[in-house]
Amino acid sequence: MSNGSSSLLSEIPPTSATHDQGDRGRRVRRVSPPGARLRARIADVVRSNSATIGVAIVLFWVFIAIAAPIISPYSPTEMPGARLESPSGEHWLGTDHLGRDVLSRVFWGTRVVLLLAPISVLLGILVGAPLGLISGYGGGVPDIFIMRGCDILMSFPTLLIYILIITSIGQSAIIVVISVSIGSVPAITRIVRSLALDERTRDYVNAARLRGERRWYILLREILPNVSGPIIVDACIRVGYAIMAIGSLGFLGLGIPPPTPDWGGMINEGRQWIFIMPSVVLAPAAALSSVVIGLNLFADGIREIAQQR
Amino acid sequence: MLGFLLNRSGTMLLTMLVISMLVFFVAEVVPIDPARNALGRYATQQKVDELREKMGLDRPVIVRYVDWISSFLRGDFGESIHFRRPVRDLVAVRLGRSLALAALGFVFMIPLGLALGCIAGINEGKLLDRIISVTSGIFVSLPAFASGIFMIVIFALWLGWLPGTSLPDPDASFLEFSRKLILPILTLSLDEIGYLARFTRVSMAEVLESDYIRTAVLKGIPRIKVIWRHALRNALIAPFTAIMLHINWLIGGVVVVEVLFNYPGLGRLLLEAAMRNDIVLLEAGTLVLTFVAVSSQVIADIGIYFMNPRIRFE
Repeated sequence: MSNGSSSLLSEIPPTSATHDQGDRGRRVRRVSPPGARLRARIADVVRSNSATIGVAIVLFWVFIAIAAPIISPYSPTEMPGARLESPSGEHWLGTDHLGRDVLSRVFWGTRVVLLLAPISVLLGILVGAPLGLISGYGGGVPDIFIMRGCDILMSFPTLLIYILIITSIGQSAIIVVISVSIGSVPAITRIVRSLALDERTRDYVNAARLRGERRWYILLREILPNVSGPIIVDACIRVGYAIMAIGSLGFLGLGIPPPTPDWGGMINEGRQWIFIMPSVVLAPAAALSSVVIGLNLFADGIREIAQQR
Repeated sequence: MLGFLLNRSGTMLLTMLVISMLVFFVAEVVPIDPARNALGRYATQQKVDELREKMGLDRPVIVRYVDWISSFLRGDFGESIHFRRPVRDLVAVRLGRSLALAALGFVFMIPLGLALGCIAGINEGKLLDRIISVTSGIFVSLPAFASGIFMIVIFALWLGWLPGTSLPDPDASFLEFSRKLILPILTLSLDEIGYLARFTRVSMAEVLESDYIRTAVLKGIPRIKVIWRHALRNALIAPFTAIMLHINWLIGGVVVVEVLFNYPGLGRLLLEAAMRNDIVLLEAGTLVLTFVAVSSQVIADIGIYFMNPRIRFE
């Protein structure tokens, strides 16, 4: 049951504070007026500077994603200008090598990133969380197998997994999402396992066990709600990682096939012309960086709030 | 001690075995026929079948796996279909260049990251700490391809200080070549510096709050000496572990940097192999790179074992 033989390295959590959530936020179905807790959470977020800035940045891009069809001056695939036009009143960020409007492509690209990254994280959690719960709560042989599997997957450089999967199966949005989520499963499994390991000795779990509840009930209705907080904070950082991963794949030419406006892909196509028309690559690079910065600031803020409590 | 070493190397062997199977069988799914790929679209089916037989593609998968892995262990990596050269030579040259790039990156990022983190941790809560924390927060949020783009635009295009690519030029002097490597190394190091600084900061701040440091301060030892003699060693254990945990991340960074700056390393070779469906090369390159990753993790494990007495005497 103990994981003594596993790598010493992997005992160190990847992000320093996600693991030691301690007793904060533990809840055993407390009754509170509807909405009160949500309001308290929002007040917390507003009080933390970094969380506020982070949320603002992310909300800005969410707005752009939703409003893309209205605010984009052109369609992301039409070619209204000449090739590689400088920024002007008509094309605020210039045009790319095919004469497409860069601003419109950045706006539409928001949709791709903000849709695919959360889906891939969700997929990773859907696979990793149950594995982690089983491994942490149940222990025994399944635990050993699951942990060894994680060790092996984790020692495999993630980018190589992506390259291997995408070259063998083919290049499409679905494959990109699946390979990014496969890359995140071992880390999620580990985190959920360590959380579950911590929960299983608690009184409420013992009470449920003595009540004769079934195992899946204890896992899903008792333990899962109590570990969901740290999982959500972790997911927030992970969406940032997923955005970087999808961007890297696009940059390497393995991402979503053109002409879909994908930020990484835009950088890949435009970098030949970086010395002639830098805005073509600067715009998507800046957009992508700002989304990740926003998500990380938000996660940092949440962590600070959790530590202050 | 011996048990620990045996355990680590056993795990490493198992890992490499499973990974080699994964690599082989994933590549096996490829819908492209390597024989057809080698001969081109216009070859007759008969020719293709002959080549398939010669390449041994008509045998069962398991037999081919055993054959592949055993010739691999004997040092025969096969021949690249695209480059028409032995894979081993290709991979060896490219791996050397990639390792050089990564090593230079390490030399640059580790002292800088650790120093920034220590300074921030010592001054926790002060302005200097805020500045370092915010900067490192931004650094970790920048994927290598984006920060590389920013650096090329700033240093190569706007300021014109440094070249934007690093294709080695046989005529170039050593100085010229080193100039070409500055931007790739900066790009490679940036997010690692941020990551290391954040880790070191937390670790240093924690150590400074511990009882033994308070005792040292109360004994009247000067602050600088307390930090230098007492805090530093313990504060650096966690970040060292963190660097090693990040080796896989670093490998991803190396691939991206090589592609961005046209640096002819193993990462770019792999990507090229992937693009050209050169499966033999892709498999061999992936396996070699994974071996580098896994073995450096094991070496790191052993290093930490010696560095941290709490693990050694467990």
